[in-house]
Amino acid sequence: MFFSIMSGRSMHSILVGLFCLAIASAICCSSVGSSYFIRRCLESERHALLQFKQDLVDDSNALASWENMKDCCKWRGIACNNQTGHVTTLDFSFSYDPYLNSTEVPLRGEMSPSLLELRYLSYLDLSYNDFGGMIIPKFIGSLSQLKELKLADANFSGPVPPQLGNLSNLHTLDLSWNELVSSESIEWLSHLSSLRYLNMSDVDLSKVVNWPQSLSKLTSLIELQLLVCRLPDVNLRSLSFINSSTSLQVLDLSSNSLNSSVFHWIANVSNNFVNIQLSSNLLKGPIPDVFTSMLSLVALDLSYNQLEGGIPEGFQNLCSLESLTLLSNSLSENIIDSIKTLSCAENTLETLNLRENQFWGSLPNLKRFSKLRELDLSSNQLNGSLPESVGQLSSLEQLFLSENSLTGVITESHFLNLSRLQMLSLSDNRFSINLSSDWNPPFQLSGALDMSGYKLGPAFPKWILTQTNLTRLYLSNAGLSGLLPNKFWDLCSGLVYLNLSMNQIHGKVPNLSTTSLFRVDLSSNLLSGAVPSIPRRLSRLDLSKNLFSGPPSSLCTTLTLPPSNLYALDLSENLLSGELPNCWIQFQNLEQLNLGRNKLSGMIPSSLGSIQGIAVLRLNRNNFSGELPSLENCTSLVMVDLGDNNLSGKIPTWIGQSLIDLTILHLRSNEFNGSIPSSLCGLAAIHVLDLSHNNISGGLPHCFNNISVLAINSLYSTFIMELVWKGIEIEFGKNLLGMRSIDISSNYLIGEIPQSIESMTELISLNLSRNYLTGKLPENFGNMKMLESLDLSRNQISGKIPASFSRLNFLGVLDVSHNHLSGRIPLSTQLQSFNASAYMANLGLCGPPLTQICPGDGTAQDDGITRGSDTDNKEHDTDGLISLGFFISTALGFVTGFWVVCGSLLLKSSRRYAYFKFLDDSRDWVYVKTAAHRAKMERRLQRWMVMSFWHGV
Amino acid sequence: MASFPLSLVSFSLTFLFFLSPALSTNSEGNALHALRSRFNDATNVLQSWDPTLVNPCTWFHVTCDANNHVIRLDLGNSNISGSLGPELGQLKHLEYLELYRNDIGGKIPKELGNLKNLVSMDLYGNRFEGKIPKSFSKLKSLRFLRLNNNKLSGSIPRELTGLSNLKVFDVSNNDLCGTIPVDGPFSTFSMESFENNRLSGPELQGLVPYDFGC
Repeated sequence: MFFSIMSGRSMHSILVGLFCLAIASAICCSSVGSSYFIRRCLESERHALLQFKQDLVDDSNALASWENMKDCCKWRGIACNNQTGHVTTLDFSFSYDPYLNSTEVPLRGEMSPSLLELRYLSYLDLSYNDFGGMIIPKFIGSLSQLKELKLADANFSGPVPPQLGNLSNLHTLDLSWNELVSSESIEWLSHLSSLRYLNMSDVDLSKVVNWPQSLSKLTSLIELQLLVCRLPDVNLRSLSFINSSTSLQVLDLSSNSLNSSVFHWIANVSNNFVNIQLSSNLLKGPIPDVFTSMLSLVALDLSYNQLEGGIPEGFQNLCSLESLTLLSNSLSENIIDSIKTLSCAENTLETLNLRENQFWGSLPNLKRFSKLRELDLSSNQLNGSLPESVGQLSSLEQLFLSENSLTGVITESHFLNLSRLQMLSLSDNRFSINLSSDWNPPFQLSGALDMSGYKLGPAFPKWILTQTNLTRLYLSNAGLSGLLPNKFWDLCSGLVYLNLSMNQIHGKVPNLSTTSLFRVDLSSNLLSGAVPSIPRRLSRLDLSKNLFSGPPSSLCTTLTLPPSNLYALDLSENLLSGELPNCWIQFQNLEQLNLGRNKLSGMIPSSLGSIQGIAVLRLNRNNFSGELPSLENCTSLVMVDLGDNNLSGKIPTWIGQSLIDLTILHLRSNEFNGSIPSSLCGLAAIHVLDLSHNNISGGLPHCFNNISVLAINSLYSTFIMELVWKGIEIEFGKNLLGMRSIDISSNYLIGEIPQSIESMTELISLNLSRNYLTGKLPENFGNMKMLESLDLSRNQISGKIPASFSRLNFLGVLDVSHNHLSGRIPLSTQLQSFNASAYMANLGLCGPPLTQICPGDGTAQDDGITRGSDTDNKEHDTDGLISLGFFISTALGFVTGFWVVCGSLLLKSSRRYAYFKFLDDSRDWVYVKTAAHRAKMERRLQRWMVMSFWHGV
Repeated sequence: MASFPLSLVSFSLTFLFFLSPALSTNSEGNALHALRSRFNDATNVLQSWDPTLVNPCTWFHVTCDANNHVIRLDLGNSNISGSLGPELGQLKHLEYLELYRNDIGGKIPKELGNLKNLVSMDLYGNRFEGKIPKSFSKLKSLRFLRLNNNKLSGSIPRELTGLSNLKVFDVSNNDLCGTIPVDGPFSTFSMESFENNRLSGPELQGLVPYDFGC
């Protein structure tokens, strides 16, 4: 540095002299101490630095050295020029280590303009600190010597100052992961002609429509990172790129909303690409040929787009490719062709990820891809068998083939040389597994093993027990039965995820409280004994559908502070008995609790009411008794299922007042009494309200119009719940989201069905049967046009069935039997489709499908049953079916028909001949028949004569 | 442009996938899902028809019996367009097929004749064209057959006279030709059921060809 400043022909003689001087002083000073050779920091700069520090809050004393030492060049984060002593580097990015070094927290505060004193500053890195949302100060644009400026993830916000364009020496600029906005232009960037690295990820560039032009001017740029920039969708095809950069090698435009025209820009901007990342955009259509000429391409990521077709043939030119990631597109091609296309990269390819596409066909020999480390072909449509040559891929670390239709036998030779394998997933295929019980695998998995869905049992495979470094083990539905070996539970100590669901595993579960398990699913087995105590780190535990018994008291025993991490606990469908412990205050993170279908008894513990975040509470099908504890504070509750217990008392008013997010309230089959509190109408988000089979008395609330919303979709899509739907108990999953059902059947309700019920236009199922309801049905009942199931049977409802019923054209189940209804059943395709039993045992209903003929009608068949005419949605009284309009139209039809026929007969003699011949012939034909038949035919003929007038012949 | 044939390919692949015998445990759900893919469902009436569910009994507009067999399909007045396909013939337990007043076109698949338990078939108020399938004569339980207000052509299959349970028959407002059967249940149907067609009059066995005027 020193010499370079002095270089110059005119200075040649001075240079020689200075050189001698330097040597002399070096010799002189070496006896005193080498430290004196390096200049100490300048007082003015030292002062400026201390001023800079003054505006910062240093919570973890990260800048302790700034107080202990005088020489600012030795302070943490500072470096000086060896010769001049000027501060050249300010690097505070050390506070980034959130996982490993948790004792150090980011510096907070503001950025002081005292930095301007550091006139020789060439490297400024304040990344990963917390500047409290301040705007990047304009003065940074005056630090004219800056070569690198890094302000990543430092909580800056607001607009990017265009003054940064003055930093003409800048070769690295990183403003990523702040909440920065760039207004209309990034024109300032084009002044940074030396820029080699630019990262503006997460800067909002949504208004910068000329971004392609601005970036194309950066002719020295080597790496460009613009992830999540909301880059506006401009048609890049229409642009020309005359002064395009040719140096760009690394490009990451992931997570924008770019369309396929970006390929056009890429093709023109550089030919030297090494790494291109375009995942999570809106790329559609086939993968274009633009990559074909990028001979130095090493990595390409086009994941999470909507690309179609196969891997273009031009990829045959890509002989340096190390990583190809195309996951989650709609690519569809015979995998043999895809692999063939990549043959030039067979000595370089390390990662091939085609997960979640529609590649099909059977896998070819992959042996020559000797460098392959990661092969992910899950969730495609591959079939055929897995070639044994996979076992030759000695570099392979990750092999994912789940969710295909692969067949054949998996043997030890498939893994012959896979000594580096860390993760293996073969689930959801149609393989059969033939691995001997004393197989000694060449690998020691350190990640995941997923062999769900294969018959590995009945005994637990010994070779899995040798994999002591496993962290995730999925052996769901693997035909395992009997006891688990003790060694398995040793293996558990290192596991984080464990899924052994849907096997036939017997025995007890040991104490797991010392493990690091995070998620455990042992559901649908034959496990017995007491519920194990819960490890503190455990987040999800599913032991449902087993034979666990006794009171679940162990839930409380091991728990001490800090509170359990448990988020979801499912112990449903076991044989648990006795009372629930009252220690739920310790489960403050619990969001889903399912203890349904056991034999638990006693009161529901009051401490459940202290879990503020609980969303799902299921205690159904137990023997709980007594009144409900207050759950008033559990305002996050979405689902409360307490059905089929012996709970009593009144339905609490706080349900409608506090639990405003409740979507499912299931109190079916208990002994609740009293009347329905009108506060229940406050449940604006309710999907399923089931109060049936209780002792509820009084009238229906008159405020149904308040819950007419019935449409907010706040339900968890993972819920599974049994509902009585169309008269049958059935397990609902996903479609609970769309369900809108009210069931208050089998109670002691009295009074009328309130008119406000008409406003529940989204209601799909309504059951008020088996009560003591009286009065008439609301006239506009048919407004509930989504109704698919309606049961009002076994009440004392009187009056007519309102004509609006004919509007219920989705009705698939109807029962109004055993009431006091009378009058004609309205006509519609739906209403007449039901059996007579739907209407039976009323006072005076008539008309089809009942055989009772309404007074004044002829035969039931003549006019009662609807044709496919337009009677359905018309609400005219059906007594007037044969109306004036009918006669007029008949008369009109007759007149028109008459003149069409007769007129044409008059005009066209050939036709006249044919017509009369037809009639004559038919008479002749009639005569040859027997007398009885003849009379019948003549009657018909008369009828059809009229017909023929209607249409002409 | 290129996406069209590809989506067609993927659709037909999906379709084959659903028909493959190894996965036919939920054949009724698969049939309905295949039907859905033929429909254009402007108002999302079929949103709940998720083929990943165990059976279609929790789908809206579908009714099952206690054995989880589909017995009703209630989709009248649903703003559906598109067409029907042969897969509907797999709903062996179907009793009510209510597709009236939509915008469904194309031919009525002859496979509907396989629905031996069908009580009611309401296809009226659509854009169906082509002939009334002869296979309907196999629908021995049929009581309601309403095909009016479509664009059906050809003659009324004479074989329908064997449907002894037929109570309501309506083919008015179509483009049917030939004569009208007189036997079996047809002796009871009123003339309104046949109006606005090109029908020539009652069948006169042995005298005039059945297809007279076609």
